[in-house]
Amino acid sequence: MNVNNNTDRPRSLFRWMVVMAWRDSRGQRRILFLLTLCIVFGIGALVAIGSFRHNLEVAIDLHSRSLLGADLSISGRRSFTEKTENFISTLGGEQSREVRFRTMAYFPKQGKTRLIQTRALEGRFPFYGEMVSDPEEVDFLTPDTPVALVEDSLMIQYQVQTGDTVKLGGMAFEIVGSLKRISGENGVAGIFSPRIYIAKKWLNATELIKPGSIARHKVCFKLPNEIDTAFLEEAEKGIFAEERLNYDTVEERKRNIGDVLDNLYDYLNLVGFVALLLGGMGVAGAVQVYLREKLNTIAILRCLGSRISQAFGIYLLQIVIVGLIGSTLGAALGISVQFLLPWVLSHFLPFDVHVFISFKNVFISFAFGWLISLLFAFIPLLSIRKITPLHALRFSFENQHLLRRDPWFWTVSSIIAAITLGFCFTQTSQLRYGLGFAGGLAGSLLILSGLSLGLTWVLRHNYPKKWPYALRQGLSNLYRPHNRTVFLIVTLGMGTFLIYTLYLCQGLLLQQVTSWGAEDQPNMVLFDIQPDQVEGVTAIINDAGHSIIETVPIVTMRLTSINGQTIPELKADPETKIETWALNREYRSTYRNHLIETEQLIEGELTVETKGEEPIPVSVEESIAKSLAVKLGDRILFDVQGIPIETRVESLRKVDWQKMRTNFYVVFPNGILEEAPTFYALVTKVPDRVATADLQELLVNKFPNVSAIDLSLVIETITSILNRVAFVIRFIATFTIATSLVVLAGSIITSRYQRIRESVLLRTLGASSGFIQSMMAIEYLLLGTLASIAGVTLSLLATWALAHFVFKLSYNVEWASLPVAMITVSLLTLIIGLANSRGIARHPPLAILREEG
Amino acid sequence: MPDQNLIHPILSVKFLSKVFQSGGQPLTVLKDINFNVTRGSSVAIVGPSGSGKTTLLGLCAGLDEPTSGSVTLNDRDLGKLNENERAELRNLNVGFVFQNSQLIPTLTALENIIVPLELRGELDSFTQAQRLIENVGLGERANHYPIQLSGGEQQRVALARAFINDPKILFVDEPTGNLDRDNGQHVTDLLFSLNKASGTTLILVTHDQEIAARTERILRIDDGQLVDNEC
Repeated sequence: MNVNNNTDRPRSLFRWMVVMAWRDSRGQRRILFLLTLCIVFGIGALVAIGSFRHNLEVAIDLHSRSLLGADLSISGRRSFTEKTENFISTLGGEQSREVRFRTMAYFPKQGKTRLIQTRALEGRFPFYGEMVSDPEEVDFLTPDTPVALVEDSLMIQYQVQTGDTVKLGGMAFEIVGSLKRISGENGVAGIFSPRIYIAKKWLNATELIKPGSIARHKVCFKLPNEIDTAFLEEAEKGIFAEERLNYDTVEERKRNIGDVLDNLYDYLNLVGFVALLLGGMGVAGAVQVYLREKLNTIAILRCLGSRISQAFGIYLLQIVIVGLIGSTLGAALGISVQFLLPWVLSHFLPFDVHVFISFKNVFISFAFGWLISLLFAFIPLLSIRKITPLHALRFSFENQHLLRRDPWFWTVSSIIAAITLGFCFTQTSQLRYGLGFAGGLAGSLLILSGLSLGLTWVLRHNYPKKWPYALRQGLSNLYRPHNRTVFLIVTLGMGTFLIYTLYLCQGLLLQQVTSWGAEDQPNMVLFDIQPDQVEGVTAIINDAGHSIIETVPIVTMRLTSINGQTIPELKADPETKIETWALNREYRSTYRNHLIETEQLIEGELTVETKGEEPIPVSVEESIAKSLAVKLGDRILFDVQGIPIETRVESLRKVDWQKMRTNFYVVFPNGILEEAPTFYALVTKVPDRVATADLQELLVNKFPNVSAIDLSLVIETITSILNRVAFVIRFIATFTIATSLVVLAGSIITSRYQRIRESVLLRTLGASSGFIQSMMAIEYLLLGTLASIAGVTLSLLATWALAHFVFKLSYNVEWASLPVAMITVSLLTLIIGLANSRGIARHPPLAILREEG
Repeated sequence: MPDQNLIHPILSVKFLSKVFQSGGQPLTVLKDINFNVTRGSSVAIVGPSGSGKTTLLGLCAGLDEPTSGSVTLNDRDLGKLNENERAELRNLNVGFVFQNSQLIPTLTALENIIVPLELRGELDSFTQAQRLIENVGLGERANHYPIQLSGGEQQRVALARAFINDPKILFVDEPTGNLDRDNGQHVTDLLFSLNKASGTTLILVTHDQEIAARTERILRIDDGQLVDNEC
């Protein structure tokens, strides 16, 4: 006998395992291919996102200075004081000034008005990066006649051409070009309020800046030397705190943009990861069925003297190789998709991204995906260790492997759970979100598994004995040995759950906006109205046949101290829980003797009138009270345009900010602010878009400084942004959908192997093709229906949780979409199931048996 | 001098019992079985369906573990070996022929035959396998898959596989159970001729009295007990 020596034997046996793995795959490569496909899309998503993230990091470094357009910028809500101007002059370098505010633009030729953002610029800007316009490098700063550069999207929307006129306040500007892009700002910025650039020298002539007007004043610097960080920190505690100024540096901007893009990356990565997990479950299911077919082969090998490790090794090798092929295909798909991502994310990127393959990131995502697929495959592979050679002689009921008693099963499952948890934690900003996401996934899996187990239990114990035979057979297929009920319901249900949740969330956000336009709700707010304009504006509205719902006086003020501590003291206090933005901001407050319908008193009492004795009792909105860390009885000193007013927190209000009303953080009683410099806002209800346009045209002609926010504009803006966000979500969700379809097809195709023998037997005993098809149709339809009901129900729960805890919105679901989703999933399952089973029902039994082996 | 075969029989079964749990109740399939098999001899195990023949064969071959008693195969107490050691013992000393041939469906006839040698690390034994497949009359069909062969042909391939590793003992379970009379006769003739040529010990489970009669000794089993041990 020619037995190899001890050194050569392990090598020979490994070679044999490789050869056997190849030989054994014959005739089964369809299942193995499905197994490959299960992970392709998940890995593709991770590779694309991971590699693109590296591209973004490089781009942020490359464009760092152009993100701000300058080395340093300082801005404030009011025009700079002398003290600030002195400080600015000490900084030196090249400077440019900008005043930025929202106002109405009127296009006389088109007869259209629109709320826009005016940017009055003085000096060259940006110092770094570029302002892309058409025509290129158009000059809007130096001409002696008033000219403007108008946002490209606005020109397209209103069919405005270069050479046309735009009226801003009291001045008409000739449009000299369209603004395509400005370094450091993404395309979404222009959706909220389209930008119009003019030279600052024309600003006064527009008469748009009035007392109380909301404008941001900014100065940008190009400095000859590096900024001294210590100097800025000193200034932050000193002059910036005193003058309520904000500053921005390249590093700060880089960090902020990096944080935003990181959030985007984390979100996309989570969606990709879900696709991978779903694929992993598909792999586990396919391997389970694959191995069931291999039970006899393994038993024979064991009879012939194969060790457990050798039999295990053959199939492990197959899975490793298949996983490797799947991961490689996934990586190739991901690399291709990576080149599409700049286009997909174009509206959200503040700069051009040079796409290159980040091999390190590709490898990490590839290895991670491969590991996940192997771990999932490992669970069914474990059962190989328990296959007895006795099975070759006859089936042994004593040796059925119970996974739950296998410590390796718990070890591998724990590793998968730990990786999932770890991944979720690293991809979410807060631990509780990570835990919530992972918990949601685990909970969904448990619910779906429980539901499917419950179904099999109910069917087993309440089998309808008098129903037609095909129906009974179809139902009993759901609980008989080797059924695929749990696996199919879990994978189908998870796919439905994830995809439908995305759909519901988008609908929820859009519905929230459109609900503002309900019959009894105001739909237009006019602001920046000067006291002497109130009467005129009211008359125009009334003459147009609309009624004034509310006239609101607004007084601007700033915080001076809280409970005796000045703002600089509070900022310097390391113990303080007060948020800086709340100290810095300019407060626009009103006075009245009642609550409006968007308000609810939650603590204290509303004082309706004061005789002017300080402290003045005020009502504070609950969230700003939290940010300022004030409670009932606390003292707040306001600076009302130079006059100090001492107040006491007398009540706390809850405000529904989602309603289109003029809501305020601080409400004063009547009797104190009436003499302060005031501007007004008017709230009205206009019946339709034509009436809205007409009213805006009338107002802009007579009161050009008055701006209007109309609901149709808000809806249009939010819809436009949501559509762009939804496009990105859908693009990445495509990977999840594709994985779900592959897993669904895979589950059904593998279930074919479970049913083929009994179907052939029934055919042999005289069952018609129609009978077999009916039987299968009932099984698939029931599985699809149940999975879709479960998935849709989970979606409703998840959307409720998101609406309640994340979006803080009332929960309104578009119920009509529910049956559509359920019918689609059920029919899809039925169609794939029947398409896959058509051969079984049509061809002669013997031919099928020969073909299937 | 005592007969070495009596001191060291190739198979020794002592007080062998097997109890399964069925529906929570113990089900005794084999009870206190005792017998020895001498090297080079042929033994048939006969008995009605459900009498425990196949279970006894599985236990003798080390495919299963007894509830009590012992099996000594080629001087190795199977109860003292772990699963991997039993697998190695099978690979080096045992051949199998099953009722339904049990060929691996994804391997060709030749590849099926060579598996026991490959498991020993011998990957280049195709000549030996080719000779054996020609011996069973299937030289032309070496590269066919089991599904492309008839039942009789499959069983002939199984016979070739059983003899490829020159086993010291061959366990055969109802070799003609799935075959028609002519094919059954052909396979039986082939089995006995190959066995004679190799001098292998033969343990054969069968219903067929004619086949049993061709062995040197018959063990009759009924209701899990050995009722007759005729030579």
